[in-house]
Amino acid sequence: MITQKALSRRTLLRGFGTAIALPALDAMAPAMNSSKIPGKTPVRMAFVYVPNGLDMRHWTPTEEGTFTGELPRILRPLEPLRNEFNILSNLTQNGGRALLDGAGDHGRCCGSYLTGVHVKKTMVDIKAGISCDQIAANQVGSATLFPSLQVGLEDARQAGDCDSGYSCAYTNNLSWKSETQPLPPLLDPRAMFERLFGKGPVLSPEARARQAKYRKSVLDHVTADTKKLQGDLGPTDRRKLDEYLSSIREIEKQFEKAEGENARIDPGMPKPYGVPADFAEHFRLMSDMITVAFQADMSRIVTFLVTREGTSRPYREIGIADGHHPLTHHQGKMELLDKVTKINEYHMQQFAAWMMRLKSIKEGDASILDNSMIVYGAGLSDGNRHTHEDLPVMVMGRGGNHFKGGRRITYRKETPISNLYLTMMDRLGVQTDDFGDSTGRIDGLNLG
Amino acid sequence: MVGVIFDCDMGSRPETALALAVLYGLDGLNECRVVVVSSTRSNLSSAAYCEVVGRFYAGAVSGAFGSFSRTLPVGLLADGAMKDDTPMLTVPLSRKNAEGKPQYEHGIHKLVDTAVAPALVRNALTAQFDQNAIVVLAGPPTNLLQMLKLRDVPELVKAKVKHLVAADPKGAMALAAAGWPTPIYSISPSLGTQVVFPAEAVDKEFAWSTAHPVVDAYKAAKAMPYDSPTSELAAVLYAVRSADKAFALSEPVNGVRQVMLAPEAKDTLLKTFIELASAKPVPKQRFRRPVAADPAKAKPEPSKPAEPVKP
Repeated sequence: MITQKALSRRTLLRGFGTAIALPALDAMAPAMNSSKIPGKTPVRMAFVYVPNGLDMRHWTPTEEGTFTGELPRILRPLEPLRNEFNILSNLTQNGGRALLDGAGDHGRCCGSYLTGVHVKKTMVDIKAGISCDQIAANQVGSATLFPSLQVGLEDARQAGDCDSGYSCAYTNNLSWKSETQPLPPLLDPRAMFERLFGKGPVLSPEARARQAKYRKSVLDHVTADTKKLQGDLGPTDRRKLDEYLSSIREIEKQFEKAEGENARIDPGMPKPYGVPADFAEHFRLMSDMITVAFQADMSRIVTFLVTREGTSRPYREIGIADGHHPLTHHQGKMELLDKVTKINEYHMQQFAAWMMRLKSIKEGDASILDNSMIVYGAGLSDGNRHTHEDLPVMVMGRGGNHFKGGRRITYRKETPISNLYLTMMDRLGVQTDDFGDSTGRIDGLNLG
Repeated sequence: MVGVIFDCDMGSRPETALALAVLYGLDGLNECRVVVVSSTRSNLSSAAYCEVVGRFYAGAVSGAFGSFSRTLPVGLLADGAMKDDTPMLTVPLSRKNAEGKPQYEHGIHKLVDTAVAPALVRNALTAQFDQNAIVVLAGPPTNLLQMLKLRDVPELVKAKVKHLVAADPKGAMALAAAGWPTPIYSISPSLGTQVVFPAEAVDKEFAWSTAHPVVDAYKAAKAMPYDSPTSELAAVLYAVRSADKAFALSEPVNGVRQVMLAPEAKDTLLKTFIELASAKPVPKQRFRRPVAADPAKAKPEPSKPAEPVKP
């Protein structure tokens, strides 16, 4: 009879103002069953949103079913992961359409993206709907330290006109706690870091700067707990713990580097203290912290607004000085279209690198990516014509050995994207009969 | 201008093709906009044929969603086994031109080329002004009954749909029983047989085109010459011109009022059917003239004498 007591999944490394959750360790499983994580393996759900539609010519695989041959240009960074994701075609977000409200597709498409509703055209009394990530967070979020996390890289303004009379609250948020309460994304990596690992309130930029001057690693605060735990672990778990703590330290080092560089680089726009000027570095920092949050089961639900909808951000780092949004109104000019494709590729490169990190982190017999379902996509299909049908939709990960990857699945026209969200919520254990404008669940994703 | 949703079972009766032609004829006169066409006949050819007719009248088809005048896909019921093709579908769809290419182009080759009918019709309704949509039912009510079960759809229908006109009383009764929330009219079965579309009109009035998908379907459906009942044509006409003096109404029974032929209106009605069904496609107009307040003033001009089109 096995009597060895397992380490609690909720064990924390504690120190002054600090509490660090742990990744899944073999010691958390009963003896003789070391590769199994206790209880049900957590399934994560994330939404990664890119703005202004995509160049669909280079997004959609030409053939139905299993990917054959070379992936389309935008998807090519995902080549090492070609069997880990599906491309879903023909999904529609009707709520993003004008529906008699005139111009403002960017404002509408982002506001409706995860809510499945047609948002109210206003700059004052905003109204959308509860987003699917928040429905999930309300029902299953209590299992983790953070029911959900909202992350972004660009702009968290919550007021003003961001598109033809639509409030910036629509273009700058994905998550909606209620019809009238968006959850702004966290843009500052340090604020995110402190949220994840520090217990105190988020510091002001000035206080943060003072602390930074005398900075210690958060790991320094939990040295005693770490040493004690290491003594109780076997060699495999010790290595896992070392890797995990090293990844946290790596994030801290990235902060220090980014903050140091901020003094030398003029990003051309005001940015809060601690936000890297370099887009790729910012993406990497934020995605690393989401990874740690997944690894330590601190949260299973994330929305990631890569840049705000309708953004005119230039990408000088890849030689594109034009604004993203103006470029998408290319009117068929190949020179401009090519720049749009390059931006789409650049975003995908960052995403692919993150996904490969998730794939590399083992969790029992699988990886974190295997136990995730991460939607990458946009609220517009063709950014030039502002189309809301046949949206670019990718579902990355196997949703806990539930989805079969490596395919393009085409649904019938006008199939609501809400049907996908409903199916994903099922996988997360959320009890709901419908969502937004859903007409049912989608099929075809399953292992079959 | 009112938007019309046409839900049919295209392929089952030649009358349906004529009814769709009447609808596009009214669209060409700017008396309505064809918003959506859907079919309950589980058959790809049914949807393909609807698209062929839509493309034939492309100048008169108006997009319901967004800008750039995008047209909507054809909705199709797909609830398992596909129904067989019928000659009225296969003959026009397989017709070749002098170059050996399809006479009528369409883009429906797989089920995914069609739209999920309940979602399509629901989405189309969301894009209509309040009380500015009309639904014409020219077949079984399956698509509409499924749509009615979707969340918030009864409220949406109540807000958007002025009325529903069914060619078949059974469909009307089923929708009334399911709680369709706006006035329902059904065409009296006697009207459809009192006024018949003459075979000779199919030969004569459409002669301005050497290739007309409605004529091809009509002639393929049965051995010519034959006359067609007109219940579905009447449903379309009443939906758009409900004040037309050719129609009379019964008292409501179980929430449905029957549309009957007004006394001595037979010839007028037949003339109208022929004029509208055989009307030429109208090039798309960027700005449409408003609908006349008095529908009588919006009467269509008589179609010009047939002008054979050179091949």
